[in-house]
Amino acid sequence: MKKRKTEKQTTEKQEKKKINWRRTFQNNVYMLRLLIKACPGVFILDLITTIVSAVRSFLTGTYLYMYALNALQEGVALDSILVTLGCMITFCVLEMLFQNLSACYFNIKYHVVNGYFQSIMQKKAVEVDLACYENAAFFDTYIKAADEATSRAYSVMNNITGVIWVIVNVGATGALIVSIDPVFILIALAPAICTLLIGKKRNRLRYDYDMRNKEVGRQRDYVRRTFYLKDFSKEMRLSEMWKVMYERMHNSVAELKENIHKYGYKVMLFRYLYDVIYNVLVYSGTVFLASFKTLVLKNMLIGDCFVVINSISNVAGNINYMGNVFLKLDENSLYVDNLRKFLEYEVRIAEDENAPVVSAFEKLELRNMTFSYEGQKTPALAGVSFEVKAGEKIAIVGHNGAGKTTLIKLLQRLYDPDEGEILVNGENIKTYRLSSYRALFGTVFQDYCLFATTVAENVMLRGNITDEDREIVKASLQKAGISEKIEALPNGVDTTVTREFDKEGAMFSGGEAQKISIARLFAGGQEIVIMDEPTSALDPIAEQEMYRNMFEACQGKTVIFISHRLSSATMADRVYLFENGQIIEAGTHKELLALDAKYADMWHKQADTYLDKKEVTA
Amino acid sequence: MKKKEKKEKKQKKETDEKKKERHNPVRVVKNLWFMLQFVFKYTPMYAVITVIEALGRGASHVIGILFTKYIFDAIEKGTDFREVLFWILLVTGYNAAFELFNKWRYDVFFPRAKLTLHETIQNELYKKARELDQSCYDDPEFYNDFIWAIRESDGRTANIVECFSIMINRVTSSAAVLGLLASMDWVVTLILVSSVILGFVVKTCLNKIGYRHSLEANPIWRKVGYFRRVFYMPDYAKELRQGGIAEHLQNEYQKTNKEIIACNKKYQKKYLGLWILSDLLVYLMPSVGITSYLVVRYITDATLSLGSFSASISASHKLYYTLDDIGNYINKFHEHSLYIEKVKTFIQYQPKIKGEETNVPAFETLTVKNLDFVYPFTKDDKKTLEGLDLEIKKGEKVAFVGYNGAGKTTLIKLLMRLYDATSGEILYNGRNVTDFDPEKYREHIGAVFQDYKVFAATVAENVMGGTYTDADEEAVLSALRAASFEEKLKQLPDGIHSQLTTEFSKEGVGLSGGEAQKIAIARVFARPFELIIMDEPSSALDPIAEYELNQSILKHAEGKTVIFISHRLSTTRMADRIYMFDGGKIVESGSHDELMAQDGKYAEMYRVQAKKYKTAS
Repeated sequence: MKKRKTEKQTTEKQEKKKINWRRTFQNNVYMLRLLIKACPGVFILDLITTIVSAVRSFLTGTYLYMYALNALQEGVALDSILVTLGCMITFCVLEMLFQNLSACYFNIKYHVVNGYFQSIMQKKAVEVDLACYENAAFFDTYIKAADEATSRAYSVMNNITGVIWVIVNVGATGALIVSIDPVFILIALAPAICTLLIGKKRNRLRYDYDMRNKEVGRQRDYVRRTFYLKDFSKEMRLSEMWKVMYERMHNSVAELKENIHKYGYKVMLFRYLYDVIYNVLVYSGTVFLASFKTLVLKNMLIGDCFVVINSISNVAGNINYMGNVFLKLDENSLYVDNLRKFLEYEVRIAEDENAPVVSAFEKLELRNMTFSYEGQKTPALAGVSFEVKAGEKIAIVGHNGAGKTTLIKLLQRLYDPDEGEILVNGENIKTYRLSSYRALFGTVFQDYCLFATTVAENVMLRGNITDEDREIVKASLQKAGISEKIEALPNGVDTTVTREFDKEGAMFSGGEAQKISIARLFAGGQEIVIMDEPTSALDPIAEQEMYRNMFEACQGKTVIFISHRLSSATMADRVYLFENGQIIEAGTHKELLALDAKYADMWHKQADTYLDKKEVTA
Repeated sequence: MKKKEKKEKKQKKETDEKKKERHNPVRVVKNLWFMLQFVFKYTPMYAVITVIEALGRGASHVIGILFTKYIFDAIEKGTDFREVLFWILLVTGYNAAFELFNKWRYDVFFPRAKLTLHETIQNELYKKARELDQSCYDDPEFYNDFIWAIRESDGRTANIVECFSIMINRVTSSAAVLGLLASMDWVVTLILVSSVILGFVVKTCLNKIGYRHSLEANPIWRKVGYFRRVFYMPDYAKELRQGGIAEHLQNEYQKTNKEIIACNKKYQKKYLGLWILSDLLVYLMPSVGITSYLVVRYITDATLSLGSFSASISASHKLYYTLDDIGNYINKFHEHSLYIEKVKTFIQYQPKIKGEETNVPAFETLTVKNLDFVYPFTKDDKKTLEGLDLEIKKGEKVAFVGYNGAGKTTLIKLLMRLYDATSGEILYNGRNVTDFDPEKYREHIGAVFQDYKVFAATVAENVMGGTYTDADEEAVLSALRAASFEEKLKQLPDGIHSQLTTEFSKEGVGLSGGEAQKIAIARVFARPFELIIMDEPSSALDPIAEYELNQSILKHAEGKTVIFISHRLSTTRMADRIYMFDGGKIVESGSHDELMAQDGKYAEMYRVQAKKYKTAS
């Protein structure tokens, strides 16, 4: 059992070269502090149970025999031996009861701690800049770190108390052995010394081996996915792609076998060396030395001999365990590093409670704004300037990847521009309080999503729905053209969306979900409405209706909408055509057609499939 | 150490979400036998080595105990040290040799045997996965089991075999030690055996409560899982930054967590009594109880030698751990049995879509007669297609138009025989398609679906939809040309041999939605399909690209039969015949001009789409 455990640990932990012990120590303390903050009782009780358990283990595992054998040799009265034995048994029973009660406590508190951790993480997750989500490394490491926070916190704690357990237990047993003959401690140290000497090399080898296997393993995972995911199912049946995938799998198996050939024997040798010392030589050596001392030198008592032979493997194992504890400390520290980076992440676009609130919207100005996504050379937006006055309807058109959606994100301050500035009512938007600034906008994103809460909450985008809110929600759904469907639901606007929480929850098709997300615009009192391809999932009639409603409902509001279907652009006061992150044409639909450049070209291409030739030319 | 581990185990049990029903022993054995057959068939040496190891391990336990007895007797009696040394060396030699064998088995032999086993089992599973009817993917229960069966196939098979070898090992070891112990001290043996049996009973009770607990907790856990996704998935990030929804969800999470705490508290009380009982029986009785008994006996009974005393202690410890292990492994077998059963149902599944005739003639006509179709596993038995009639002749360009959900894509799936009709029939050259072998039949039809997929393979392999040989080069290049992918192709580092997706290598090419769609379109041009089906082929493209692509497709499909699906009527205008779908029925059919003259649904839809362009021009 134990053997397997150590193996696993050695394979997992060494993703790095050198251990920074100072940092390791700080990180572990940091995590422990968080845990204590979440629930101090857990740590205190864990400490107590550990010490009690270590003492009990020493008493029953080692001391009992020595006491009995020596008492017998010294001729202690049987009664008093039995009384001591009785005390020992009572202690064991009490200790067992205590441990079980503690286990209940731990299990209950686990979720309290978990709740605490999750809440901190969630709060932070909402605060961090959106850019973090687009950074794959951030997402992978930190978000996953946040996910396993609780189990790591416990791991840190158990590791620390584990050290204490070993120290108490080994300390007591070790002291006993040293008092008999210090030579035996040297034997017990042998496996630990061996680990010190060859451990590094062994770990290196193991690491290389694992890395190679991991790489090949990724291929096999992929092949497996193609066979079971529904997404691939049609192609797997209709084409012969499966032959390619079979070949992939076959190759990866061959490669793995080659790895075994290359590394297996070396790994085996290292492990053999270690295990032979730990499992065979420590015991045999002790037996040899003890019997030699008793039989030939005759300078060792039988009781001592018994104690040494019986406890030596245990002591050796525990000493070696200490080594693993340090590795585990380091493994946890690496994790805590990620967690700390996440929790201590300085939010660039942050809420400042003292900053002024935006007054009624009058004017939005973009001045020579440039922006690139992290790690990308070509800017997503380059030198964009324009002005939107309250009440205007602005269309933004252009090819995919021209920078339209990026522009929307910047307008909402999900990102800040690298150069240039955005002004609202003549003030740089950075000077406003973030929440009040974002409250200016109602947005439907291209990749909108619904939450597993009630329809009303989804439309209002908040909790605490009052009857008044319900009326607003109903009216908004009406405008979005989905009220019939919602009215037909068992609980109307209070029906839960998705079956996530509620077996009776409502499922919506892509078009319906999009309509609900559009209803958000009608419900909110936002002064600027932004729509990013709001009709992509809708069919033409629904699209038509939607636009009509939209412009009706948004009278007086400022509307900015993105589309690559130019038919909708005709309704705008002004059209901006984007290409490669720049505005290349601007004006009303008519002006742009008259300009007879790119926009006109796009328009004709889309239109002429609908129109007869003479109509186009007319 | 032991106690420490134990506590963690209890904690873990709590957090483990899944726990499923249990099989009865006969079923477990049957299922395990099913799996073992694979082992015997493909890697017989695996079984042989496992048995040798088990015997060697058992022997090593017995030798260890006898050795302990010998040593302490020798010390007590003062035997000649040379004799003692001889036995020490002999036992050490055996253990060292056995350890070497064991390491070879563990590090070299097993990994290799496991790979062989995996490959054969996975071959079997994958083959079956491909034969599975598409409708299986619609049955959530079957699909979940199926995912489980395949996803775990890698680790699980090895794990099952591993369990077996440990089990054999433990059983032989404990039998040997039990015999030895019984010959030395029957009281100890009795205590141990009764402790294990009683312990097993208590554990079964604990498992039952645990099962009830997880039944009650699982729905709450599912909710927690949702919160995790919402807060950490990038999909939701933008919306979480709008309005007060984040705060609301956080409060909901807190509420859910309180539910978990309450549910957990309720069960802790039930666990506590059984834990104490189990610790008394399984832990205190064998360890403290036996030790105390032996100490008392050693002190009071002069006939008990130090050797027998220590041998009994060591034997009882060994027996205790091996028996305890057996109990744990029995539980694991229960779990494995559940898994194997899923694999079994899956491997034994008989596909419903089949046909005898492998000789499928060249395409002439496709006729749909009074076709009804209901998706399997839908609740309300609503007909997705109802009373459909149509005919497509060789060389025609046909368009299916209509709103979302009108049944266009479903009809395509039926034409491709991913499903079979509920009633009515589809005739291929006048013969019912259910007569044909589906794989052979599909060789005549190329389809691009709305939800096309690009594979992590080379461009050429993706286009060929299978293995690529140099003889295919011209076909691939012209197919890519037909799909207007040429320009992008020039930018690719290795041309048609560029690896797509970054799944396997960092240098892999990531394609945009529109580009990936073009690859999917190229597939139908790479092979000599006689009938081509395009389901919204340009949905991911911008207007100009859409326009160009449509021109290109038409040019390259000359002489071929083409079925277009779209709700953009501009795309379908030039078709020879247009079928207008509405609510699963064909409501109108004819050429564009005919339909416009009819002034029905089609004309209305067309005008709505065209109006905006007209009025503004």
